[in-house]
Amino acid sequence: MGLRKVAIVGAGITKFVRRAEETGPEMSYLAAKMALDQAGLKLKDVEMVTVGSAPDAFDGVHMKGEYLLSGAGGNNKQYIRNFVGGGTGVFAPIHGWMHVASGACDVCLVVCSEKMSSCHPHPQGAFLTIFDHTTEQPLKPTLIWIFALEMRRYMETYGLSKTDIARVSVKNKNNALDHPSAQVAEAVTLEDVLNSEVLAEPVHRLDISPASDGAAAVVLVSEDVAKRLTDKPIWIDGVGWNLDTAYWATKDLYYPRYVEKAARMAYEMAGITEPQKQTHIAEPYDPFDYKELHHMEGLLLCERGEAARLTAEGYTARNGNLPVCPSGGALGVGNPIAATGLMKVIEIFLQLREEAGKRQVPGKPKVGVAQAWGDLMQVGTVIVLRR
Amino acid sequence: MNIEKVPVKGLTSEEYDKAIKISWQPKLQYAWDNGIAIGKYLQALKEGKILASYCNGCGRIMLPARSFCELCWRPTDGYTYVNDTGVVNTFAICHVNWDASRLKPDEPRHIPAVIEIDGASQGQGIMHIIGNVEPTKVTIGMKVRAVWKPESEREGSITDIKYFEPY
Amino acid sequence: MSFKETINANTQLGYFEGAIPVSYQYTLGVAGNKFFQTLMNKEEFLVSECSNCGIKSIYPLIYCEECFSPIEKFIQIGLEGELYSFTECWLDYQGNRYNTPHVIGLIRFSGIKGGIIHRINVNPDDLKIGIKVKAKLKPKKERTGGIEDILYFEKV
Repeated sequence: MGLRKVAIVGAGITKFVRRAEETGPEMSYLAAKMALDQAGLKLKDVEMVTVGSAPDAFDGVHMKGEYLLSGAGGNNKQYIRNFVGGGTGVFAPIHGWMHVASGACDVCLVVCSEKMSSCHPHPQGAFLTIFDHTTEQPLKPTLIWIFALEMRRYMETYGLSKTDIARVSVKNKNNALDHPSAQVAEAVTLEDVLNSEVLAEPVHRLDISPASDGAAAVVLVSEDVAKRLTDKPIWIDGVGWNLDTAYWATKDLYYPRYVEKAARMAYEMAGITEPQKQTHIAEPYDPFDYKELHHMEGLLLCERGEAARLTAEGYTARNGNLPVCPSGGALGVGNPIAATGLMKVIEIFLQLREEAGKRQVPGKPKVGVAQAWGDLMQVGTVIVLRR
Repeated sequence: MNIEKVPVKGLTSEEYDKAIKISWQPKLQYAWDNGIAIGKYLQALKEGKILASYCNGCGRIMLPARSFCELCWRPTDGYTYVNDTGVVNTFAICHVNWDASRLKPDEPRHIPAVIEIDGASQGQGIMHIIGNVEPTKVTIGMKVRAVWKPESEREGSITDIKYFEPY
Repeated sequence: MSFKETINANTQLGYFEGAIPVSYQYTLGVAGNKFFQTLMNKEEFLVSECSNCGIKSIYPLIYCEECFSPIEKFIQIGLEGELYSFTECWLDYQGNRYNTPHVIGLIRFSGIKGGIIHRINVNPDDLKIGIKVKAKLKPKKERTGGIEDILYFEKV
């Protein structure tokens, strides 16, 4: 394609918490500074900055990109915000990748920040307005409706039980006990999940990731700069993104075709023809536990309808054949929407460098895929990293 | 370099309640233009009917009515009424409100659903509420029909249909 | 290819009303907390100073925007500043007309980057760019920790 190679050379992340004292810019700074320090770079080395942050309605600050600017290192730089709902966290590094791969710059800082705690009575309320204002909002929908509707369709299509799905929550919340940023890591059991409060049948409280405040950042550089800075650059081998219609009630909800299209775009760029065999580790987006299964299938990491069985067999555990969400995912670490996707990219980055500490999966993984999702069941963003 | 310590501590509920906070109650009120197609869709609802658009390019009969076909990328060719009956594609039984507050024990559960409307193309569904049935009796594939508000109470809104009930 | 139908009289336009019903509570942030606690309790403005490049900022920050170093030094500078610019507003933020104009100014502080925007209570004859102004605070027990703890800036 005539594009240059791009590597991730540094990462930073804050704790994910339900309510932070820090403002959005302060959280952005803490994550961005950590990433730059880890990369061995100073702010003056950064040429361009891209910031990902989900709806302004969470933080309650209009023009959130501009608001976060100083904390994200953007003063007097080429600075742009990107936003595709929950897909932002993986789209932000894709956006950064464009800056470097195109030759427009050699060093691009990518920052994602979210402060959902500002929104009252509950950040969930801000989702009221992603539904169509005229044909859907008068019914007073909640975001949980749309997930519950999709989950039931998925379960019905493949004859899955709530137990099949709850296993994902158990795996991820337990995995997250080893993640320093984790907000809701817990040694839960299947019974805990299935007995937790029912919010919208079939969704229970422990099937859902929490609302969070948090920030994350990565530093992307060109090949020449990467080789000067580190002997363990992690290359962005493939990127993909795809959006589907906003008429979400006219789609077959049991399968995320937009994730498949995004994945195919990324795999083709990365030269991956058999994702099931050629991918060693995966971080699909898991705001609800069934979503991990849904997305595993969309990412072509298993046959349709098979993800639940593989999870039950331990295939996706940290020491399984294909570790999925070894970080603990959104379910265990937390879900400050845009920062979550970037947290997953950072997890793959650390795992491929064998720097994931207690979360390290065995077998020296070489290729990993991270994916985020968002909007009205609409966007898939995928990134393939290679050591 | 392993990331072992991360910044930001987080506030407990008590610390949050005691912290100085600036409050803002925005008055965000809107009057959204309907456009021609939704204008007709809402007018049809006021008359107790459901209006769809059709496209001669792909042959779809689409809900809600729209001015252009997003697949063929051309204006739709006309409108047609569809039935006010349909089939449940998926549903949920919800115990929380839009703002995450819980429904009181004596309040009836909300049953949102995607209903594939008879007369529209395969898969063309709309979101609405199921009512007048025990939540545990709702199934995927169940046939339902719209229960309309009395004519004098209809305003030209999706809520002119009170709910869909099995039949 | 354009749409087949058009509406040409705006009396025929239809619309649907609704609202976005959320509300907000903003924490002050680490630096913001220091600033407003100092204002409320010590009646002084607080600025941050970067130990690396020396730049001082109001409102204070926990990081330097220029060199990205973390900031740990905070200095109190009293309540006096200089009127950098001002305007007379005749409309409120929703477009309603005031009977008498509200004077709003940007106040800066010598040697410090940044400034404060607030109400100005100065005799029209004295109102000029460059005059020295000082913040007048609410009585101590009425302060809550926010920009409204300042009633206005008046001439020194």
